[in-house]
Amino acid sequence: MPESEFLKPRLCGNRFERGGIPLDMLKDISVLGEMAIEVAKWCYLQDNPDRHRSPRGFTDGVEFEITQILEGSAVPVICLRVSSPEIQLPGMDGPKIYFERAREAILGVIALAEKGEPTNGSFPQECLVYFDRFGRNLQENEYIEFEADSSNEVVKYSKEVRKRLVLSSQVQQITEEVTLYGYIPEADQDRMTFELQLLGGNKIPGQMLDQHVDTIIQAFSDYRNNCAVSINGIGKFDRRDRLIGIDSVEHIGVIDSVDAGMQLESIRNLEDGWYGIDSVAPSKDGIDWFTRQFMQHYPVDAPQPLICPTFEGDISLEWSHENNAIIFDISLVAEMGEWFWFDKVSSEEEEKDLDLNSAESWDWIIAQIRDKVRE
Amino acid sequence: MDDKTLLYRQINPQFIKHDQATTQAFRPTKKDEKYLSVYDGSQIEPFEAWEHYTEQLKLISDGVLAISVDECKSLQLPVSPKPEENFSEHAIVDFRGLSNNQIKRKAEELKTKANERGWLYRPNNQDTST
Repeated sequence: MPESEFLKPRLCGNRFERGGIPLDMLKDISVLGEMAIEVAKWCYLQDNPDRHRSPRGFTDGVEFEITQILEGSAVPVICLRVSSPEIQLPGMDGPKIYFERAREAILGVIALAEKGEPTNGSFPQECLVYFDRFGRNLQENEYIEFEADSSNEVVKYSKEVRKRLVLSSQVQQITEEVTLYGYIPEADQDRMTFELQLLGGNKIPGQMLDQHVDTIIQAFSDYRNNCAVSINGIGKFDRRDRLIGIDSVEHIGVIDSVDAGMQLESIRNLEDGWYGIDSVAPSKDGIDWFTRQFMQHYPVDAPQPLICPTFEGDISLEWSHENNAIIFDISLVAEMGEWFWFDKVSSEEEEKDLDLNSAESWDWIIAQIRDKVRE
Repeated sequence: MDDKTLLYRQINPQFIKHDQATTQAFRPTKKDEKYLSVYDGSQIEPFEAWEHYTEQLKLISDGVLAISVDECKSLQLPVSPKPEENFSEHAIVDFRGLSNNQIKRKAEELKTKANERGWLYRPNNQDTST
């Protein structure tokens, strides 16, 4: 079978605008190949109900490869190549037709999920689990577009669509890329396991990898001194969206107690009433929005702010250095910031309203911080 | 209450960073109509104030800091008793008539003075907020 174009997913979102594909997304894309093989086998068995398995050699030499990346966000061209001589199957021309049907079935089930309709019999129930790994590294506001074969209809695969598909399978868990903050009260070097105590108090288990042992043991030993860690990796959630464990750890590091991400996560866990009657907890969506903006724009080597919630459900950032004090009140609803710098000794001061969705605003903020809060 | 009287301020754990209070702990909320609630230190001890705040009022405090009446006066912030039912030690620092920026400046100064004075009471010697 000659090489043929199989899929051209268009990756959409800020990360892909320069035309490149982050390495972590390659893991997601590779799942498409695994899924296509299993769905192709299922298609064959649908046509041959008297058979219990696909014929020997059905997938021999079948490879999916990215042959080029087209512009327009980033569009990897995935080709199907069969390196071994084409097998002759009884009652069929070759396996290619089943891979084409697999592609249609995959795009079809995504289209159904996008419309919020239930998956029907055109897709194998047992293969829905592949969607757990496909798109796991998509971030908020990112999605993958496919052009359907038959209708030229554009099918949009987002985090939400992915979740619908996974939840429509029989799986009891869904995995998501996560950044977690907490403490390590327990570590077992024999079993190579540890427990992460989240900021809200819940504890979840994780596996230790060799390269993370030193950091985990350091945090464990210093647990009583509130030694905190941040973990980037894959979290396991139950069907009610509750975090129940760590599937894998990519990075772990000991962090300062005023690490901005950790402060924001602590605020995200608040409930109404946290500061007495009528006090409002900042909305989780609002905190997620601000966290994204802050992490995208604010350099890690710049002085970290102290971040507090306000009674009304917003947040306030503070920096202080020598005579300089900065109080930056953020409206999570308006997505605006009210900047106030003052000299503690003189009457000098400056105030400014800033649109926090604007990169120029962040450039201005960072320049001010670099100038006034030198550490 | 005289100029030397200490006014105890309960500090919510969200306002403690690196074992010190943030300015937010000394900014009156909109609900309090620009009055900052404190305990009159001439009538109650720091631990008792904390106990009253957490057990009677059922509010959250990770420690007690203080500012003096004199310090408030030097910032042109009037202080007066405001006893309430079952809360006779209640007093208020008056931020009325000030702009938002003036409030931030004065709250920052109060925070600095309170932090310099140090914790008057900390349950279980806690030393972190997050």
